[in-house]
Amino acid sequence: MKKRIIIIISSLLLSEALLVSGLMMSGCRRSTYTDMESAGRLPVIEPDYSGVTIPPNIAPMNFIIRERADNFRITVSYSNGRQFNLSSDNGVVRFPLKAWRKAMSLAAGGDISIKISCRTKENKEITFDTVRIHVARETIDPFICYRLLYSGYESWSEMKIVQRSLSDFNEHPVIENQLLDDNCINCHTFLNNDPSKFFIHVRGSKAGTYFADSGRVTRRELRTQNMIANAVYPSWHPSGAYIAFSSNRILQLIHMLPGKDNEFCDVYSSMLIYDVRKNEMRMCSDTDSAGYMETYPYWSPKGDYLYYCRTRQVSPGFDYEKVRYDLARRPFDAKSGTFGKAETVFDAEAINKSASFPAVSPDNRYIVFTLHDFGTFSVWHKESDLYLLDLETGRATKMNVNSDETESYHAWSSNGRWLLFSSKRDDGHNSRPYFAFFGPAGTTGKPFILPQKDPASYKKMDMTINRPEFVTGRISVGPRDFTRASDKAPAKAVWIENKADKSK
Amino acid sequence: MRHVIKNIQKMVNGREVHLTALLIFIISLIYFLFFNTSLFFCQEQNSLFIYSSDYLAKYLSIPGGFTVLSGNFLAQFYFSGAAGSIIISSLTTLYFLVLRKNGKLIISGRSFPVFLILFPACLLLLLQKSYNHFIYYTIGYLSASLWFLISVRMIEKKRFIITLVLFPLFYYLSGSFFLLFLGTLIVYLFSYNTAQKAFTKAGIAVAVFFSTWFLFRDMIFLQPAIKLWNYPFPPAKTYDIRNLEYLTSLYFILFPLIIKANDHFRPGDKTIRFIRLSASAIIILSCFYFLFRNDNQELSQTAKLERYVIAGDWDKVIRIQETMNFSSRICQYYYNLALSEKGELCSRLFYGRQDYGGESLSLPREKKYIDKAIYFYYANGLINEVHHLAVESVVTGGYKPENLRFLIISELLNGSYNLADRHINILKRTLYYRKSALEYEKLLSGRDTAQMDLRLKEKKKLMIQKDFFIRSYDLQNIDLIISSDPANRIAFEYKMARLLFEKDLVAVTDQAKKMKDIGYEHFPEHIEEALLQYVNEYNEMPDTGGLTIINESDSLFKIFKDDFGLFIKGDRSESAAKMKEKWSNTYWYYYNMK
Repeated sequence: MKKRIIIIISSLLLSEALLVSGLMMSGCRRSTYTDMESAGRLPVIEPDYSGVTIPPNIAPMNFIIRERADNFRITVSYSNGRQFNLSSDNGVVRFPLKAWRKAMSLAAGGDISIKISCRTKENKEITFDTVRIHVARETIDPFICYRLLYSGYESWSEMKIVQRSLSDFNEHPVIENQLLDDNCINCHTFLNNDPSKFFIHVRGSKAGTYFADSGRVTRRELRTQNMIANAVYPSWHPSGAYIAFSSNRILQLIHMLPGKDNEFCDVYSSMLIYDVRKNEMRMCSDTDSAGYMETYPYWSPKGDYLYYCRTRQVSPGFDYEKVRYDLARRPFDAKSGTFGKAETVFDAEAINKSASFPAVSPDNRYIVFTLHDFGTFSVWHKESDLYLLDLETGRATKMNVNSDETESYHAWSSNGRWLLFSSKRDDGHNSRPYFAFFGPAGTTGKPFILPQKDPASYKKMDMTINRPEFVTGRISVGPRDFTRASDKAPAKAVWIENKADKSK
Repeated sequence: MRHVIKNIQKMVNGREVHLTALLIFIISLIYFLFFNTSLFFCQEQNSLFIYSSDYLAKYLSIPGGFTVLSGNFLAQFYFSGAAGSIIISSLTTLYFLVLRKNGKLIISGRSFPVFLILFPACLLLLLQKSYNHFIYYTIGYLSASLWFLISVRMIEKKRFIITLVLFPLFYYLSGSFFLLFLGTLIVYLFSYNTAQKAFTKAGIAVAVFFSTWFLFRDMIFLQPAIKLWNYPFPPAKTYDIRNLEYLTSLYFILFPLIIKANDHFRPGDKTIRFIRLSASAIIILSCFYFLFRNDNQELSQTAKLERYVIAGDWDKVIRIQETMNFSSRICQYYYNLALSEKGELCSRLFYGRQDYGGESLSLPREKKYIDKAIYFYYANGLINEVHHLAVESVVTGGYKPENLRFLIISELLNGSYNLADRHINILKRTLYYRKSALEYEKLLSGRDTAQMDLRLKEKKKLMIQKDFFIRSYDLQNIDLIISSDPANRIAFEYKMARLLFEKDLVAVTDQAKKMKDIGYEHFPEHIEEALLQYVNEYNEMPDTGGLTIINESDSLFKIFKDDFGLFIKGDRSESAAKMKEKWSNTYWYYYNMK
């Protein structure tokens, strides 16, 4: 009897144990984690934000998960295990602004981790390796300004210059060409990234250079009879007193070989300096610049040097593939407004390359410039890449931000920690703004594209984003201010013959 | 019998308006369905309704954009001529009926003669005949008449303020067509009110309009002031029926006054009834006359051929041009293009009418011709230029079915798959071109030429291997293509065709000797004729590079020479027609007689 009782109790305990373990096992089967398969790789996300370094004040880095699945779960972790979760049926991931900002503020100097898992059509759960984004401590200027236009060859239609906030997705028009007789608008240039002081060129019937100064827009006509072409590629002297331009006579050619597009050649170009206060225009120098074509002026942060690109003056019937520009500079005395002798900073021709678009870092240590096979207009050169010239060592290196497509127009943030540049890497035709962290030792982070509210917007966008520039605040003037200014007659600049150049 | 006629009269009397409306609908339907179907094709090709938020936003960001958007929406159905005819006929009939309502409303339900509304309906019908009158202009007139109907109803109910409140909405929806409504309203106020009341109400209406205008200009829409006045009125520069449009607008504005003036006549008066009947008859007959008068021969001829050019039905293009002998340069350019695509440029060139010599081999790359000029470069495999012109066309005139197709093709051929994908996605968001977008999409997934259809493969083969810059003169471009790829027979035949047109026998002979190396097994007909003409002119046998001139051609040339000898000696005016009939298909005729 006793034995029977023991057997019954043992059986009951065993059954219970079996039941419990069975329940536990079946419970595990239902668990989302024990059955989850690891893909053993990063998820394909678009734009590719994995491994990038971002500023703590950047807008949510929305993306699309390009994996074949129906349902995605996204866990964003940051700072001591804090996290928030998102889910998406179509792979589009849009971070809530509030949660994103909180994460950014706490993660500065560390990482945010994005864990993505999904359920496939076969009802399989897959988890991917964690996408890590490093959040730098250094902030980025709060706005950028760029031109939006359809990337045509000769014609244009809609064209506007807009300001985009980097901490959210707001975009405001600064000027729209439909309010200015559909004329071409270009070359928006700021004084030390200051939103209250900038100018824009307008061509055609409303021609002029429109200066915005503390909320007021005025129109000036900088081209004088002594100039062979309009003033282009401006750079504003840090003191605000001068603007350097180049005046270029351009030849446009269209390649017929597939894979090549436009070719712009300068047949003549010279550098000019405009005295903002006196409304006077003159040549930068007419002594040692004779025999050269000079273009793309850029002031050093202190304004003591003017960097630019130059090559020997071409003659009729020149071979455009043999025209190569070096990087040069001239000392400048802001008090007298005179230049010293030119010197070559980077001999691009020696390596059978051509340099364009120099941009000096705010700490005066580096120059980022574009290097391509020949010619002056790198925007249409697929092989065009960004190079970094260390002014202390004189060493130039190819930056690790480049792609197989064109990298060209670039700008420094006010603190020198962020680089903004145009790249055609997405489709080979339209420029998009990319950012890269610039470390103190001249190292750069993996570049990332300007985040958009709709991460698929670049796929749909027909317009090219041209000449992106950092701005330190909100621009207070708008398109109607330019329209009003266009109704007034422009103040015509006066041409001044050069005094003898002073050697330094 | 008299009883029957009386019964018919009774029936007609009661349904005069409805029968007239039906008549307008039927006249319009028959005309557009059977006599002007090319109009729909042309206008459908001129715009592309894209189902996307960007496309909507573009039009909704300007007063009047809604009218254009509605018009473009309807124009997408112009893909079918029957649908187009029904749309145009329905809108015209609707305009007639709304005017009838307006007329009755302003004279408190009393009747007025039909011809007073038949006339503006016929004017609108005639406007729609023009290739430059887009459907949104018709919608503009219709909306202006609807706003007037709503406003008069409100005024009748002593609710003028509601009309004023609706002004911004009317203006936003109709744009510049709002001005027609405002003009009509002012005329109405002055026609049916005391001067003091009229001045007050009209003054308030104008003040509300100007306030709206300033609000729109300075606060809401980033649009130039001039555009807020004239959009979407037809542009003065390109509009070929400006006077007709002025008349239609003027009549529309004066309509309340016209109705009032008519109210003074006694309807029972037999003379008045006769005049009214005659007026209706004259309007209908005049409408018939102007409808069937060919105002724009070149456009209608071009449209007839263009639909087959777009479809790539080269046989049909050749057949139509050889039958109809269209005189326009574009038609002859299309004919030569079709011959080139069929590889018959130098063997059939003179079977069709050739009035422009080498100028009909290609078209200038000007805005006016850009969408048509592109085919020449595509025929020759100059895909970068096709891309260039397609981009220019999109930038200056927006997306159209053909420029988008060429963008996609050129990007596929150039291997720019990401860009091709973007444009395919745009084409996918259209009603009628979705299917072809899906076909192009298949080429994307293959990412190689294996899946390309035969025509694309042929173009891929023609693509140049040696770079050059496009020149202003196509003669130079052809030479550059040939120097890049001497085996490009399309370009070679274009060069030969130009030399034939220029009657440069020495150059033709010089080029002909290369033909065997290019892959010709025998001379194309006109080249052979040119060589025989050369022998005749220079008394020497040229180097034919190994190809032979067939005896039959030689014999034919002897007959031609005899006939030509008789023509020279005899009565030229009489034998010229015979020569044309017998020999106009030959190069000999072109060389000696033109």
